[in-house]
Amino acid sequence: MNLSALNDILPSSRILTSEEELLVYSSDATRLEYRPDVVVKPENAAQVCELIRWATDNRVPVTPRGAGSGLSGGALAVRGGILLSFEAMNRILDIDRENLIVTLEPGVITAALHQAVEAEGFFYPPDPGSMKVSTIGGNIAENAGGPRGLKYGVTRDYVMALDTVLAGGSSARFGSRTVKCVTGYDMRSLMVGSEGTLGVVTGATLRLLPKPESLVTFLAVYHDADQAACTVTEIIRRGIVPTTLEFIDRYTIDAVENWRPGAFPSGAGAVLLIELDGFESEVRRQTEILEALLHDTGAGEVRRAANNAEREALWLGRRSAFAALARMKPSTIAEDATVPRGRIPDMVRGIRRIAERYNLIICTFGHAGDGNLHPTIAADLRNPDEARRVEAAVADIFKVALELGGTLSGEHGIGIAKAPFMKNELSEAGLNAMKAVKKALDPLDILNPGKIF
Amino acid sequence: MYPLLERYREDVYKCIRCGACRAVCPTFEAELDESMTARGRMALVEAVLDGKLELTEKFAEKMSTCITCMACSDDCPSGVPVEEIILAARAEIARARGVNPLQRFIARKVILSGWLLAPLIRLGGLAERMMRPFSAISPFKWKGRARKLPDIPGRPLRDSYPEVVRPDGPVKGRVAFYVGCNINLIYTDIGRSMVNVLSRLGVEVVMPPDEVCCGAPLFGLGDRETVVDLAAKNLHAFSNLNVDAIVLACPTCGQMLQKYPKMLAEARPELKAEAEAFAAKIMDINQYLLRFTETRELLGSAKGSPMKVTYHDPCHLKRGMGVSREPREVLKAIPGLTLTEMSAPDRCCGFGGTFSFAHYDLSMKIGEMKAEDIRRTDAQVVVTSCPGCRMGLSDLLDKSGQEIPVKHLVQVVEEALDKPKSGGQTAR
Repeated sequence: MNLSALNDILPSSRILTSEEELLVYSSDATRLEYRPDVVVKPENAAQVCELIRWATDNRVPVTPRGAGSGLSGGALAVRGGILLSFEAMNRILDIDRENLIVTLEPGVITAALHQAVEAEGFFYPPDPGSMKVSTIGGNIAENAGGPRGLKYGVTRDYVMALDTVLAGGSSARFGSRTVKCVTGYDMRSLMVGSEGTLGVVTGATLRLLPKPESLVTFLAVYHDADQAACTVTEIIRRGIVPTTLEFIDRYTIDAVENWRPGAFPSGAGAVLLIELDGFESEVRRQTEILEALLHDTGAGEVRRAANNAEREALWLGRRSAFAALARMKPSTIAEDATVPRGRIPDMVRGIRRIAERYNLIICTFGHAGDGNLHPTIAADLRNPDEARRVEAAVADIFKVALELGGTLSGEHGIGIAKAPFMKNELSEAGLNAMKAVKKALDPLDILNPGKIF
Repeated sequence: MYPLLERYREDVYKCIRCGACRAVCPTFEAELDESMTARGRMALVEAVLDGKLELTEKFAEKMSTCITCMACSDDCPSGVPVEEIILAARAEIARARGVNPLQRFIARKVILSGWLLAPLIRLGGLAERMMRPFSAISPFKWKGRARKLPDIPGRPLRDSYPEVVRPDGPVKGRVAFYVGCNINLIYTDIGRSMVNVLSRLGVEVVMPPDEVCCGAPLFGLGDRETVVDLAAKNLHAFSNLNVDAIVLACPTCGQMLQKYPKMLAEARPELKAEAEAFAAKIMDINQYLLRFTETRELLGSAKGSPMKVTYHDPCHLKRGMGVSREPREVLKAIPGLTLTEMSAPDRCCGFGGTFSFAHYDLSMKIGEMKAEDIRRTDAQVVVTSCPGCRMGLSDLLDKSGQEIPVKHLVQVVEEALDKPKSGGQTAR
């Protein structure tokens, strides 16, 4: 592939061609490996346009990448070509205090955005587990969620406008800086979650909320998972929409206990981590209702954080879950199957049966409030038999989720991992409609080929 | 093919490539590139182990630009021992390349033999002083200004003291002081403060004349052979001293000495038991000060003048030796002193020892963030507990226009006590 033309678009320091550099950009958090032919790190939108124009003209695939922390393989250059890293486009351009809008480049790390806007008394709710690492661009491509999703929604709900480069290299701004916008098709929302297959985002305008006045954190300990799972629905039924409603099962608690003893209260069968936020009087009222409810539903113990240090202590167990699991076996497979909230108890039981059937370590924790659980498998994928069992278990998890009226992916995206299962959730007509959109916007399959379908 | 690296194969595979290291890696923060992260470096090591990559120049460069601050493994969900793996990779590279004659000369004739080191450092210091007016041609420049390096004293610390320094009054304890090359040849003032503070506490201080370099810089460059010889010499020098502890004010030396048992278990198994006994006695001065019951009493009764300080956690002390609570407790025991924490007190200062000479620009880029963090604390003094960090921080503060001193914790302790030790056996 003759890449010399790239030197006219970018300074040579922004074009990586060495074996070593291509190697490190070949992989992402799925641990799969696909080698790009070149890695480029544009500094501005104009360069991105030119890159994609050249790529389209020369039929070279382009894979956009933020931090490579995605769990569905979105940042992998499965057909080689150009790996387009946004690491160098990481500036927050403007925080509009009057309109509660932030304008930024896609390479901004989500936690950095949180820090910047919270210092101004504002709040950007989406808080994916990867937020200290992942970028806004990646969050947009995958429509990332996070614990605060139940009350506050996901990335899509905060995207007001996207500067997007389309196949062919032209660019358009979709959406607007206004609260409401219905000018033509909602391309902006289409782009969110399209995993870089319909357009490449070079700039985003996001809406902010005022930072809530008060935040209170609870940890509710249950003897069994069923009770905890049923409590989730009960909370919503009573009119309380917590900002966080995390479910952690016994297997996760045991794993954490082995690594960080004392992070969870001892003897817990399942735990709910709940947070309420809002105006102080509102939070006080909700606290009353919640505490009564938790005791009604059989919570053995309810802890409430009185200060920041205590809040950190209550979160420690939940935050340690992934690491505790990662230490049990060398490979960690995080799944994302989502069901309607009311079916959580069934989903939890279904996962348990799958773990037993395939003799695998599966811990379940996650955003039970919005039905988005993360059954996470600890295994050693170098063992062919274990790898086979993992593959079968994952397929079964999808099956169960779909049977319960759920969906394949709540927040991780389809990428390459789940592409084969798309036909199980969508009808042929549905799939064809999606493919028609792809064909219309990117007929030559330049933008992140090999993903979703 | 690569026996030193092969033993880490399982550890390297443990990396699940989640990218959590990106959030804490100083070289990533400076360069914003995947190859400048623990994840990227581990991927390269895995490729070498799988035979997909040779020990190329670029591979060596990526191994060399890791500052080994260990922030990554602190946060790593899988607990990958990144620093160990990086150092093993460097050792493989050194083995493969063979050692160049100049490095061999410095390692064997200067550092191992010992006697040439002091005169060479003094000569280097003199040359550096002479070149200061000509900063335009300095090889180490940051934003147009030459690197600020300390003046080299005329005399090594250990030459200024007898082997045993006895306190006035009753002897309440007895320690060996492992001085280390930095404090022995460059920051001798830290060494004097150490001796004075310990004497004030009634502790007898032994400084064996046969101490040699701990080997940390050579270990960092991949020359394990010489480090084994240095270790054997140090074990000999510090054997049979009958001391409560071997105290240090340099955690780079401290964590290196603590590595001796593992290193010698293989290379010189007959020394393994001695190395274990030796390592068990190693203690950072802050740990010793707090274990010594008189300390708080003595500090608390000292005349305190108001001073706002901030404390920088040296990587080798906090992560290498697990000591970060004790220095703060010592500081809090000093009347008049207010400790204001930086937003990230344990973020690497960017010095990294030989790293700052091999990669000065990167070192300074990393340090800029530390400098700004310090500025935000509004502290009058920056306190740390490592001579290396002191050197790096002094340069950083100079470059960022902050005219505040950097002091070693033991110097602050000395100042807080009424007067330094007078009468009895003093420095010649």
